[in-house]
Amino acid sequence: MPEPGSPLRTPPEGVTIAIPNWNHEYLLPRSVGSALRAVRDLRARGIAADALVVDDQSRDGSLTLLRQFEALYFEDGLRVLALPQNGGLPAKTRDHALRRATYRYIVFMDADNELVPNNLYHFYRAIKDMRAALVYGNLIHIDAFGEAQTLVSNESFQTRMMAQNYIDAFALADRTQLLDAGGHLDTRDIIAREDWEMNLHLAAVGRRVVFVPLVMGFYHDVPGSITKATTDAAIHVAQHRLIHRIYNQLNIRGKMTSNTRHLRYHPDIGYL
Amino acid sequence: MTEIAAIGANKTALVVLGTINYYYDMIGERVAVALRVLGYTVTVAPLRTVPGAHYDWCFFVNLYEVCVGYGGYGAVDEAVDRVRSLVADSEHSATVLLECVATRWYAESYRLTERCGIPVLLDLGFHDQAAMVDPNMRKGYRFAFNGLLRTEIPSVRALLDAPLPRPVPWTFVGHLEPKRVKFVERLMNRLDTNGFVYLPTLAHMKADGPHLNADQLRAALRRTRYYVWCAHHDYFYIESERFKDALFAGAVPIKVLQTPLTAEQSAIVPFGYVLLDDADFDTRLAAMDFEAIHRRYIEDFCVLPTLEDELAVVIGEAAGLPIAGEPAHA
Repeated sequence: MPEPGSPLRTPPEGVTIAIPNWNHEYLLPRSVGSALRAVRDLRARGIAADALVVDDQSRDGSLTLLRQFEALYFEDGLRVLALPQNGGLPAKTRDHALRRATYRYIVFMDADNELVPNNLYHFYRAIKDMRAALVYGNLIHIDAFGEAQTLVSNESFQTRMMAQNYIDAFALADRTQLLDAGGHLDTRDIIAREDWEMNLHLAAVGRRVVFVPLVMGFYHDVPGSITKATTDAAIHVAQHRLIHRIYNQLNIRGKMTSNTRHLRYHPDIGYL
Repeated sequence: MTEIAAIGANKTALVVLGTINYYYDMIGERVAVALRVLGYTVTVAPLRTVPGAHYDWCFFVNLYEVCVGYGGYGAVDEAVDRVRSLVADSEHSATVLLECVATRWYAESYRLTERCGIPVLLDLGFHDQAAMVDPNMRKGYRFAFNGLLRTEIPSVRALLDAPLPRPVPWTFVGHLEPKRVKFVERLMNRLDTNGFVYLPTLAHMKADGPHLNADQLRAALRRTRYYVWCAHHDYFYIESERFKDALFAGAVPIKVLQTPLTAEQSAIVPFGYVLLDDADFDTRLAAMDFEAIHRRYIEDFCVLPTLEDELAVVIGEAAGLPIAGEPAHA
């Protein structure tokens, strides 16, 4: 996974906020804006940080807009990486970010997400305290009318993750641990559910996936997202079968629980 | 304060717990502590392992869960037979409940209480709900103030002398509901983004479930300024145990009400200054002086009747059962 010569074994301390983008021109100002505010907040607290937008060969006006953003906000920590060809898989784009990020810790967010800037610092404290592979917190789901409707990523990792994913990709991860674990599974078989597979993989290999009871950000419901486009029942069933085959073939996970089951941590409180 | 020395000397009491809901188990343990102070020798056990004996008093803490927890829904009849047998062997018995009387949980408990032949349904809470009880489910209803144990009062007062750092501005805990998510968003917008939010999907409460147990909740509240919640139903009810959770941890409880308090409700509930309306709770909370309101809350709570006082009154009245709906204390 690491590119030859890539200094991944000694990444500098700090946080890169990565935003994969594919034709989300109109959503970028909100997501990039929140990322830059988080960068500013972390820097003010003495923590190195930047934001990296990875554009997967968008055909709308995303790249033009992003280059303008980059010119305006380069000093504020914004970088744009335009992929030379469309990877077509969110996992590939995320792994590009994983390889090209500046700092040890990486936030994965999508263009339809919005960070709560001042809260990222607490997730950073949590991942360092816990030496976790990944920490996550509540995401407020905002519907098309701008109303808060529900939460996702709102519970600790439990055995029921084998049957249903409730932990979103929007999270803070330790790059070194994710790369050691092989990065995302970049196969079309699992498209739009790479985050689910990644979390199960981390749990299966003994890494810590930790719930932090804070709000990490918002998910703004947008028609036509890749996740919505892959709700076809047949695809859904096939993906569940694949997940089951990989992680729970003998249905033993209910008895052989993972190290990370029910790990909850708040940096001002401790384990919960 | 009620004179209790003569009431309970050398008497025995049984507190029967369910096995489903650890929250009620803790309430049962508190009732047991209060009864011991009143001079009773107390046995605490789930229905399946209750020692057979003659008891002066038998308290069933959340009878519905006692019966369902006995052996599941298929064994409720068997559980009822067991309860009836205990009731028959006891001088006095009561169901203990902490619920809004307008909910189905009260109705289910009432039906089981009647079916088991238990004469008293003791509502431990902050306000008498007799006027809200369906007239068909009022027989045996008896309110008792869910106060502190006497031994708790000094440690609660001591919280004022040694304040802890409280980096968490607010905590919001409950099961996941759209209404609650909107409250969280408002708290973030008006107060601080850095609130503690734990809203798991609805599930049975068990020690190994997704819910925070009592120790975990208390750990969070010990670092929290305001403990905010709203009920999952729209009826008027003040959750006394949530108030105590906040009290013991040094936090200030904030109950968000769906509708403003009426004059009648204001007259019967304590702590009206932390019962805030849905319409403007976030604005009012942002304007609060934490230290001042915390001091007031502790001082007010410590002068209210204790749990021992209240149980002593109930026990003292047992020879002639109270009139339905009549408050336990003037």
